[in-house]
This record gives sequence, structure tokens and C-alpha cells, in this order.
Amino acid sequence: MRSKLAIDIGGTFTDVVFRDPSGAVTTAKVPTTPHRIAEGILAGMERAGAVPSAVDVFVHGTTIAINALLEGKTAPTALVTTAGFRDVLEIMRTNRAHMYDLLQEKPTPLVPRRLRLEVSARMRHDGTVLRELEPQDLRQIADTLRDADVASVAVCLLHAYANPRHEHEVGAALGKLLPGVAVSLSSDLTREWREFERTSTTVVNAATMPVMAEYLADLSDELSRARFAGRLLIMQSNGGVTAASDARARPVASLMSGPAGAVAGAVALARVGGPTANLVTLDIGGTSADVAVVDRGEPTVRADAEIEGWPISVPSIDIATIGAGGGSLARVDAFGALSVGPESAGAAPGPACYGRGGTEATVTDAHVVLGRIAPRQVLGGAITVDGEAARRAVTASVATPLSMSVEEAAAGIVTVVNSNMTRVLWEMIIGRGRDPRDFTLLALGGGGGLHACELADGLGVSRVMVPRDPGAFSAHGMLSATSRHDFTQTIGAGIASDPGSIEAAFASLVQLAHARRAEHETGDQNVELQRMVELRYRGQRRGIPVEISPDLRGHAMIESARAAFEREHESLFGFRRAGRPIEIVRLQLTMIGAPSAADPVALQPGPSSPPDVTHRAVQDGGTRHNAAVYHRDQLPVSFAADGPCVVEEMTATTYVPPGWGLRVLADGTLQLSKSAASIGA
Amino acid sequence: MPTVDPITREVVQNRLISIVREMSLTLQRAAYSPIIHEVKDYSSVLLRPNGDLVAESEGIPSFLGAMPPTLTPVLARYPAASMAAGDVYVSNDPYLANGTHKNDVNVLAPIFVGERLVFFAVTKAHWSDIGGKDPGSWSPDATSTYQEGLAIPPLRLYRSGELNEEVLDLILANTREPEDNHGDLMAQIAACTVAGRRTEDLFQRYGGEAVAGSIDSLFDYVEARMRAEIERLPDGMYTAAETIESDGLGGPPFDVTARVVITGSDILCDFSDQEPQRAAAGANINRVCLEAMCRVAVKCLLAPTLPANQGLYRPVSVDATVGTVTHPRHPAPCTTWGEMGYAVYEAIFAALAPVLPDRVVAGIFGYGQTMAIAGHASGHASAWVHFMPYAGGWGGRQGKDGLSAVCPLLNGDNFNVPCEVIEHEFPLLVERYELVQDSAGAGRHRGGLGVRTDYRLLDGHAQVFAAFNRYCLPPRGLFGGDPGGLSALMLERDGGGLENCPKSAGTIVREGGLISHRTGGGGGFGEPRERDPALVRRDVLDGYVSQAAAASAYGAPGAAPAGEPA
Repeated sequence: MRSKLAIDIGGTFTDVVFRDPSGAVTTAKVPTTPHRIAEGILAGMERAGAVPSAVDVFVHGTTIAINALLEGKTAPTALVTTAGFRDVLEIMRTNRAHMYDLLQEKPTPLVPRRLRLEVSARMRHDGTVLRELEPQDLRQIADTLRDADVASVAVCLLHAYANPRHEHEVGAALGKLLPGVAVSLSSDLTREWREFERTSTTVVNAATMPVMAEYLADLSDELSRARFAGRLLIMQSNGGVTAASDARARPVASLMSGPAGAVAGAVALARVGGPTANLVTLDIGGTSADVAVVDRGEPTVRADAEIEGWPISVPSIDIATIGAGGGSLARVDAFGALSVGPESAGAAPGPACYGRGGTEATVTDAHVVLGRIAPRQVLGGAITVDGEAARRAVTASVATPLSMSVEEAAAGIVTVVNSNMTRVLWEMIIGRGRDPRDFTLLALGGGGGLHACELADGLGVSRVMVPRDPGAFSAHGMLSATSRHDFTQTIGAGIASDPGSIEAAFASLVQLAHARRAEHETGDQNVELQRMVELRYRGQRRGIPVEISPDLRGHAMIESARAAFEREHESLFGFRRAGRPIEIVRLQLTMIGAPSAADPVALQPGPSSPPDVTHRAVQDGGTRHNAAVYHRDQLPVSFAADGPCVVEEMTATTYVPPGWGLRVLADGTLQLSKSAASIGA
Repeated sequence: MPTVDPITREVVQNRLISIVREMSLTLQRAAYSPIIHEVKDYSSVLLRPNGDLVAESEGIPSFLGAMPPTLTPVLARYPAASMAAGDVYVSNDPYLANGTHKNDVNVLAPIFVGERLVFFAVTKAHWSDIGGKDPGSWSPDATSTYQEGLAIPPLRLYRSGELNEEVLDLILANTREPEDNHGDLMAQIAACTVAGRRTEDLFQRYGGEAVAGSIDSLFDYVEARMRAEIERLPDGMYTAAETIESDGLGGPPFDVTARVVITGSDILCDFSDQEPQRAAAGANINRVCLEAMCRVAVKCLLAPTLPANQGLYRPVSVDATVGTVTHPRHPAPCTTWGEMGYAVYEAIFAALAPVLPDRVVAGIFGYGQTMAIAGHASGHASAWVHFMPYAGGWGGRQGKDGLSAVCPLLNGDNFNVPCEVIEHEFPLLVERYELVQDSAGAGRHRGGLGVRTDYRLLDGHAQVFAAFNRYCLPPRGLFGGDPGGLSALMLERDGGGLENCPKSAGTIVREGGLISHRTGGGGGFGEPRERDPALVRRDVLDGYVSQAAAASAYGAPGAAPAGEPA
């Protein structure tokens, strides 16, 4: 078996998971070193016992590109576009997201107007040429850009998804005229229509490409010096990995690297099937919570994402983020309304109970008051939880202004933050036309297990899973991720049209896929090609994607797609339109590496002796319970207990309320379910 | 009033918002008219049986406060006691049904929990056509509402789940796009159905009393916050007028005058002293839309983030006189009321600017400069219609320049139709889609820039329908800022050159002709000479402002010193 290392760099901590050739897994958590990332990585490898020269595959979740965007530290970038369209980047879609807010702003374009340059070449929507490229346009552009000293150029021409030839010509010319300047072509990133989204995608790629390239070069150097000779793979937003060389050219595809790792892990769990085929993941950290849906073993991948207001037209795991986490502040306004989040106490000062200067009540303080988090040392002694400080904060922030007891106020804080999260969970599930009752909630992050059962109750979900090491689940997920590449193509053809043209379009996507695979090796022995078509009734703007099986061709392929579309339409909207013409809008080809037999997370032998039990007072439903408290490392496989009880571990806490029970599965996962007596109550 | 704890209230509020959002999600995804799914020209609300607004999902602002009045005429015709679960009511008429304009079709469904009528689920959506004299049912030159499309008084479309096919057939027989509109109607009904299921869940979980108490308490909360904002303003009457350039049929310009009266924590938007109504579509705004506009203006200034519920409306009253342009009698045309709506909120902003300088925005480019291109391809009997909202420049604000290229206030979260999609769907070539240099009003904080969209007609001929405003009187500047730029619609007519046709009732453009749609920029805020010279210089470098305009408006060279790249 090959040894495999996964490293997920977070804002505060770097999570390291290493699986050695025998299958044994070690983990480590080390502080992130923002200015010398590679240093933290090597320290983490050492802590996890991963000798660089013995690592075969290194899967890396990186926040370099997204941080450059968030912090406004992107490279000086220019845009080359079709004459008459240089302002597409600034006009955007003309919508105002906050409709009553007169003071809102649009994001500042990543390319200033003076560096948005035009070529007179013009393509039609059907891929035919209206005007050819003028060589002198390119020479002028090159002169301007040389003077402006840009590091990167985005090229996005109208209708390049239908025919990329002009973009290729511009790219080749600029490559010669401007050596050392990175060039991003829209047609290399996405073959979808909607000029603003494609321009935004290309510009974000171009603006982050030099940053990513420099980072990966540094990292490779450091790793080589440490004698790492394995394969470096990067976690992408679509839930799969790719070669570092590919991520360097297409950083826009790995912006959501970290959160996607968690979903990749959930997919690995879901593919086992059974009760975990449908999962909704809830990853609660200090300031926010991420929610994603794994439906019938497949991650929910959307055709686009949005970062800092900029749409990204590359297939990405659909992750909703809400400002609800342990540090979310609970406040009562002058009119008696309690709100929790999105403002957060953050890492500094943090919750009041951390004793680092915080005085306002947070969600974590509420859990301390309720007894769900113990006043003791956590995170290996890094922090001491001060129970009195938590009570003081909850009293001052919420209990006093609302004339409640401190326990009622703490319960209220948890109820309100749960209600905020429920709304998002609900929308993520029903937005797909699915029923929450068919799902298992996968609780992740330090706080997922504290809220999961109550959220499940609110959604009608009857089972919760808390995997091992939930605080580092993204890194674990990266360990199990396979390669994934998506290739999409807008077409807009009537379904009655020649199936041959659809097959031809797929064939050219297959070519792109094989070329990518040949150029950027990921080490997969086998890959699977999945074909998907997006259909709509004529007149509808949005389509519905359906998969078509690989062996279907010609009219059988079209008929199968039509039938699947009509079924899905009915399940989403409750009706179908017999006789209405159907159009194919978009094709997607996905190339996925076959999971190797070793990739599922290895089973950990649990302890065989019964765990130590302590008890402490926990408040729930206005009642004080004497709850059992366990340490997770001591729970043997098949161990079962009824709520209320608490399971503590290094980086997370799980709370099992009354009416719920817990059971330890063979792989160490905690399974929480409604106890028989309370189902139907 | 039952008292409810603030925690239950928050949870119920979240649930109510979930319900209306799910309604909108359902409606948007299943609808057929592009203006519904792409432009979000719809709204979903829950009302109490007395018409109080319980929760509203964000669609477009023009519908704020326009939904509750739709219930009254329904109940007048079909008393609540005669209603049953599975009923669905439909209406649209601006006079007979308290509608907005005829394209906006209302679907109302009572929600019963057990035997009790608890809410109405109501959706309003802009159908792409509802009959009338012009394609798209959009007739800026209409002289009577009969020309503006089918009038649907409140009608029972479903009785206890059973469809009245005669009503449906009559409606669909009167639209030019019956298939699409059938789809839209089904989508609206699906949205109401989902609201019914979720409401039942809500009541089952928390009990009727807690839900009712929470709603009462949420109304009181929003009202209290609204009143606190109003109280900060000094008592008095604040007045400003906005001029309507044309009623669309050649009538003289006239003023719309807002008198905003602050008395303690109450605010009155007094529009009682206006011109008599006109038999011209551009001149009238019906009472329902007037009230919606007043609420939009007040919410934008005082409470942009507060959830919209009945409490928001309690301190706000609106006065108008029957028979005038702000409260016309049937059958005055009023489908193209947007221009009047613009005048109403701009006048309120201007009136309150002296006491709310940190909240107002200088003049916005216009109300939408909406244009429909109705084309006839050669050799085809069927017509096509390209209709979308257009973006322009917004006014400067305290501490901030105005936004360039965003939709007008009433359109809210509206998306343009991408040029690449336009070219796929219509025989049009988009030759440019760009910001207009020097369109922004100069100011310490300048306005945003307008947008120019040039279409070349590739086949057959097309009729162009448009009713611009701010084509001869510019958007106002505030506090010494210059006015913004004008909008223009330049059409290449038969054989001739370009001609400005800002009010175009079907001007014909033939194959090869140009349709150049240009929106104005926003007004400036504050004295131009107080503008940071570095910003003037950046604007010149980036071509937002020409060197000549910078020199004349800002009195500064504004240019890059010799040797620097421009």
C-alpha cells in the first residue's frame, strides 16, 4: 500500500493525517504559520511521524488563492476582451443583492478599467466568425501591458465557449510577446455561456495564478530539500484532487479546497451505502458553519460558486456558510430581540469563558452554562474554560436584559443559533426537492456534535453521525479523495436535433479529459467517465442535470435523458409538461479516479475495557440532568448509552440530549439516534 | 395579547421566513416567463386573514406593501366563511382587484390548520404577456386600461382542489403566450401549496397560540424599531417635487410633489395635492403602487434591514386624492406606472435629504428605461420579444460614489440577460455593452455611470417599445453636486440616421438597423471642488471621466502628469 499524507491548512491550525504503508493512521494538529506555510507543513509531518522521503502521495488543501482574494493581495492583472465589452467585469449582472440598502457597494474589479483592453475579433453565438483577429491589436496590447508591468493576463472573448479559436490565437501571441506573464484563457477554464460569469472566472484565475505558482514552487523546493519524492496533489472545490501542476494553471478550481475536503470525506462514507447514502454535513467552527449535502452517495456539485461577490463558473461542491459558530455573539437589542451571530468574538478575544478579554456572551459560553462544555482545560491545555466568566457574560448579555435566569438565557442562545442553522440546512435539502427525513446528519468541526441532535429534531432527521476526529475531518476526507475533473459545454440545442451532434460534443470533451490526464498525472490507475446533460423545457431559463449511462448512444441516449429529466422535473416541481419541446442546454463530462481499495478510512482498534464515567449537571428543556460524561478515546466498539450524556475529545464535544442514544460503530464513528421510546413522540 | 418569550419568537420568525423563501424558490424554479426566473419579478408572502403582512420573501421592492391589498377584494367577493382548503383565487386588475399592473398576476390560497383559516399564501408574478394592444402587454401610449390587457377581477380558480377550467381557458385565451403563462400559473400555485404544508407543520410544532403570539410580538417589535427611527427626525413638513417630463402622449410636463410630515413617531407621505389624472399611461400610478412606493422609500431611508411585516407599515400613512395622477379612477391607464413610482420615491428622498444626509442617495438614472424589442423574422409568422430591465448610474452618497450599472431601485435583485444569451435567443447582435464616459454627475462623491447597449437587428424587422424618463431633465444632484447624465434611445429608422426616441410606441427598425439604448448616470453628492484630486485623476486614467469634463467640473487638471502611462 502506498503511504498517503493529507494536510489541511486552516486559519489557526494545520491538520495533518498520515496513513503509513501498513494502513495505520496518525494525526497531528499544529499551529498554522501564515508567512512560512511550508515550515508548518514540515513541522506537522514530523509531529505525525511522516518522514518526507517515505510519503508516496501528499494531498494538500490550500487557502493560498482564496486568502489572496479575501485580503486583496492578488497579482497585477489585465483583461483582454471583445471590443465593446471591457466593462462586463464592472457592469456585472446589474442586480442589487440588498434591495433596500442605498449604501451598498459593488466589489472593486480585480482589473482596473485602464487595463481592460479590447480586440476587434468577434465570434457569433454559433461559433462562426464575424471578424477575424487583427495582429496589430495584439501588438498594441502587448506594448500597453509591458509598460503597465502586469504579472498576469485574463483573456475572455465573447462566445469563446462556442469556438475558442480566437482565444487560442490571443493566448499564443501574448505568450510570445510577453514572456514571463501568466495567461489564462476563459475557454481553458469553462465552456459555458454568460459572459460576466466567464469573465469573472477568468479574471479570478489570472489574478491568483502568480500567487499560487509562487507558493507551489516554494513548497516543492522545501519538500525536495526534505527529500519528499512523492506526488503532490491539490484538493479542488469539486471534491476531487488534481496534480499540483494543474492547480497552478487553474487556481480558480481549488479556491474551496478546505471545506471540499470535508465533503470528500462524507462522500467516502456515503459510498459505503446504507443509512449513510444521504448525508447532510454540518461543520461548526469558531465563527461559521458550513453545510453541504451528499445525495445518494454523490456530492452536490453546482455549476458555479461565488467568492467575494465574484462568480466562479467551475463545478464546485455546493457549500452554504452561515455566521453561526462557537464564537457567535448573543446580543439583545434595545427593543428586546435576541440575535445570535453573525458577529463573532473570533479568535481574539474569543468567548468570555476563554478568559482572553471577551465579555460578551457567545454560543460557547452558553454551552458552558448548560454544562455541555466543562469548565476545564481544553485543546491540550492551551485554553482553560472559566465557568464563572461564562455565567457572567450570559447574565449580562442576555439574562438581565430579558429578565430570565442565566440557564434560560443560555438555552435561548442555543435555540436561536440552532434555528438560524436549521433554516440553512432546510433550504439546502428541500432546495434539491429532497426530504430531510431521508438524511443522516454528519456532525463535524469542534461544535457540530454539540448542536447536531437538536438540529436533527428540528429537521425531522432521526440519525446523527460523529466521525472520529471531527475537528480534522477535512484532512481525513482529503486522504480518501480521488481525482476529479469536470468539463462542461453550453450548447442550447433542441432535443429533437441530431443526437450525433451531442455525441460529437461529448467526444470533444472526452478529448479534453484525456489531454488533461496526460498532461497532469494524478497517479490514478483507472478513471471513470460520467456523462451528464442538462435539459429544460423550451422557455425555461434553468435546466436540470441528469446523468446518462455510458453505454447509451444515439436516440436511446436522448430518450433516456428525456425520461430522467421529466421524472426529476416532476419530483422537484410537482408537474411535467407533456408535449412541451425539451432543450439540451449544457453537457458535462466528469472524469473520476477509481477509489483504490486502501482508500476507505482504516478501522481503528478501539479499547476493550469499559470507559471511565464521570457525571455532571447538564441543563436541558428547563430540567437539570445528571449526565454521564465519557472520553471518546475510551469508548469501545459497540458501546451504547442513553442521553443525556456528553462525549469529550481533544478538539470536539458531542452532546446527546434526553431521548437520544449513542452507539459506537466499528470504525469508531459515534452514531446518535432517537431512542425507540421517543420516536413518534 | 398573549405574551411570547423572545426565543420562541425568533424561532417562529425563522420558520416564517423559511416558508416564504421556499415559496419563492418553488415559484422561481418552475416558472416559465423569463422575467420571473431570471429577473425575479415576483413576490411571495403570508398574510393573516385580515390582510396583515406576516412575512415577505425578497423579490423586488415594487411589491413591498403591494401584496396585502390584494386580499380585500377577494374577501369582498368570496367571504372567508365560504372558503375551503384547496381553494385558489386569481386576480390582476389594478382597480377591481387592488393589483399593481396587469402583467402582475396574483394567486391567493387560504391555508387552513384543521378547520381554522390561519393564513393566505399569496404570490404575485409578472407574466410575459396578459393580452392588450401590444406584445408583452406593455403600452406606454395607452389611453385607457382596456388597452393594457385582460382584467381579471378576483376569481375562484380552484374550489376545494378542483380546477375551474372555464376560468383558466378564458385567461389563457387572452394571452399571447398561453403555454408559458400556464406554466407560470402552475408555479405560483405550487408555491402556495408548499406554504400550506409548511404552515401546518409550524402550527403543529408550536401551537396556534404561540405562533399567533409570536407574530403579534414581531409586528410590535418592527413597529417599535421603525418608530424609534422616525422619532429621531425633527417634527415638521418636508417638501420636494420631481418633474415628470412627459406623459407619453405629448401632454405637458408636470410635478409630483411629496409633502412628508413627521409628527412624533408617525410619518405621513402626503400626495394629496397633485395634477388631475390623465388618459395617458405614463402619467398615472394607482393607489396600491403609490403606497408601495412610499413604503419602499421610507424603508430604504429608515430601516433597510428590518424584516418587512405589518409592523413596518403601522407608523407610515399615505394620503392621495381620488381622480389625480397618484390615485386615478378607472379606466385611467396605469400599466407603465414606473415613471410615476420613480418620481414618488425621488421626491421623498429629496424632501428628507436635509434631515437624513447620511442615508439618502442623489438622483438615480431613471425608473428602468425599460425597452421591449418585438421582432418579426422574415419568413416566419411568429414574433419574438426581447424585454429586460436596464441598468444605469446611481447617485452619490455621503462618503461614497454612486454605483455604476445597477438596476433601478424598484427592480432590486434583478439580473440582466447576458449578451451571449440574447444572441442565442434573438436575431440580435450586441455590438457594445459598456459604461458611458462622462455620464456621472460630478460631486465630492460623484454619481455612478450609465450603460450603453447597442443591438444590431440581423433579420426581418422589429418594433421598439420604450418609455424612458430622465431623457430631458437629468437626475438631481444633492448638496451642491451636479446632476447626472441623461438617458437616450437612439434608433436607426428606415434609411435614416440615428434618432432619439425615448418614448417609442412601436418604432420600426429594419434588418441591419441599430438600436442603441443608453442610460444616464447618477447625480453627484456634495461640491465637485471638494473631491479628492487623487480620485479625479484615477477617474481620468480609467476613462470614467474625460479630461475635458474633469477640467470643467472639478477645476483640476485631472490628467496624468506627462510621462505617466494613461
